[in-house]
Amino acid sequence: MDGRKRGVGEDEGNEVGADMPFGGHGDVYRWLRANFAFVTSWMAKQKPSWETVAGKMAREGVVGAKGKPPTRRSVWKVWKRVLRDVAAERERELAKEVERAAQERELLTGVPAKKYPRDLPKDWAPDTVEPSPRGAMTEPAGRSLVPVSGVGTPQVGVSPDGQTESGVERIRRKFGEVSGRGPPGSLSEIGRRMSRQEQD
Amino acid sequence: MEQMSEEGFAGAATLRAPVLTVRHGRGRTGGTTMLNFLIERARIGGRSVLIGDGDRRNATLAGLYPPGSPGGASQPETDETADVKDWIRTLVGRMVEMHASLVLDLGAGDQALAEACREIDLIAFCEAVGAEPLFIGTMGPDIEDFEHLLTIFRAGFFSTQHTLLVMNENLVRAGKTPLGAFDKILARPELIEMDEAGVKIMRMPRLNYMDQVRRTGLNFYDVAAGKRSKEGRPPDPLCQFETRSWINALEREFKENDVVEWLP
Repeated sequence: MDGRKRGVGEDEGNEVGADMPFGGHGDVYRWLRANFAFVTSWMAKQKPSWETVAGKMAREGVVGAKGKPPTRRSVWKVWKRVLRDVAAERERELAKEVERAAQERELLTGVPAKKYPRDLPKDWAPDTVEPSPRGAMTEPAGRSLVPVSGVGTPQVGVSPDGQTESGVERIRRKFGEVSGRGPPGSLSEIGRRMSRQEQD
Repeated sequence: MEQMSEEGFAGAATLRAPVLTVRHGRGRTGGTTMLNFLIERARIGGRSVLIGDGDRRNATLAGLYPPGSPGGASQPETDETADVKDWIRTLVGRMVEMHASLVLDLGAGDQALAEACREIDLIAFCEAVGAEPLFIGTMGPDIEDFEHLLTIFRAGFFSTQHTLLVMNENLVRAGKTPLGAFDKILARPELIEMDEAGVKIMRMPRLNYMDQVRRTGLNFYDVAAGKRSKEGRPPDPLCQFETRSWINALEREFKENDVVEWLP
C-alpha cells in the first residue's frame, strides 16, 4: 500500500504481484498502466463508455475490489489516478532529461548553464532559409578568389583624416602607425613630416 | 593606465545565429591564438562555443582546451578521411542541436579535411540551418603563408562572404617593421582582388607578453583584469597593461573592419 486514501470501489485488496510492474497497486490500476497507450488511443478514436472499458477488462480476467469485476465507476476513478501518475512520471523524466542536456551542454560548450544567460531563446529554431540571391556564394565564382559581396564595389572605408581608403590601404596605414610612423598628429608623424619638408 | 574598453568585454549575451568558424593557414601563423581569443571572447560574453581541433599533428587548441574537460575540444579519431568526415558531421550536427557556435581549426591544410569540407558543402549546410559561416585565414609576413591561403581560396572549399585575413605582427622579426615585413604581400594583386571582393584584412597586434600569458594558465581577459594565476600571483602590471591594450587593439580591428557581427 502507498498510504494514499482510496475511494470506494477501487481495487484495494488486490495487492498480489507487488514485485511486478506497478507493484503495490491493484489489478485495475496495473491493467490501465500496462495498456495505457492502447486505452488512450481507443478513447481518442472510438470514445468507448467506461462501461465498455470495464467490460473489456472483466473479459480479460481483471478483478477489482473483493475479487469482483471492475465497475464503470471504479475504472473511471482509477483512470484519473493513472493519468495523474503518468503525468508526474513524464515530468520527472523531462526534468532529468533537461538536467542531463544542461550538463552535456556545459561540458561541450564550456559555458556554465547557471552562470550565464542563454544566448538564444529556448524556443529558437532556424528560419527556413530561402535560396540565396547571392548566387556567387554557391556558384562557381569564375576567376574570383572569393565570392563577391558587392559586385565591382571595392571595400572602402574612411581614414581618420576623412579620406576614403580600401582595405589594403587601411592595413598599410595601420602597419605604418605601429611601424614608428605614428597616427596623423602624433609626434613621430609630425617629426617625419618635418624632416621630409626639410629634405624637399 | 589603459582601461579595458567597453567592447573589450565583448558585450553582453545577445541573440545571434550560431557561427561556424573555419580557420586555415600554415602552422605557427597565429591561428590558434586567434581562435583562442575568439573562444574566450564569446564565452565571456555568454555565447556558447564548441571547439573542434582537426590539426592532429599540432593540436594546440586541444592542448588549451583538453578533450573531455568542460568546454574541451573535440578531435577526429584518426586522420583517415572517413573519420574526419564523420567528426565534422557530428560537430556541425551538435552546433545546430545546441544552438552553439562552432570553431573548427583545420590547421595547415590537411588534404583529408579539405576533401571532407568540399564533400559536405558546409556553406550550403550553414545557409540551410541559419548558421553564419566565417573563414579565417592567418598568415605571417612569409610570402609562402599568403601563397598557402591563395591555394585554399582557389580550391574554394569553404568559400564564404565572411572571410577574414589576419596578418600576424607577432611573426615580424626583430629589426623589421610590420609595414616592411608585410610589404611583399600587400603588393600582391590577388590581395587587392580579395579586398575588392569583400574580404576583410586585419592585423593581429604584437603581444610581447604572449608566452608569459600562456604560462599563467589564465585566459587573456583574466590576465588583463589582473586575476591570480594557479600559483597565487597576479601577472605583473606591465603584462596586464599590454594584454589589455592588445585586446582593445583587436576589438578596434574588428570594429574598423565592421566584422563584429561575423564573430562567434
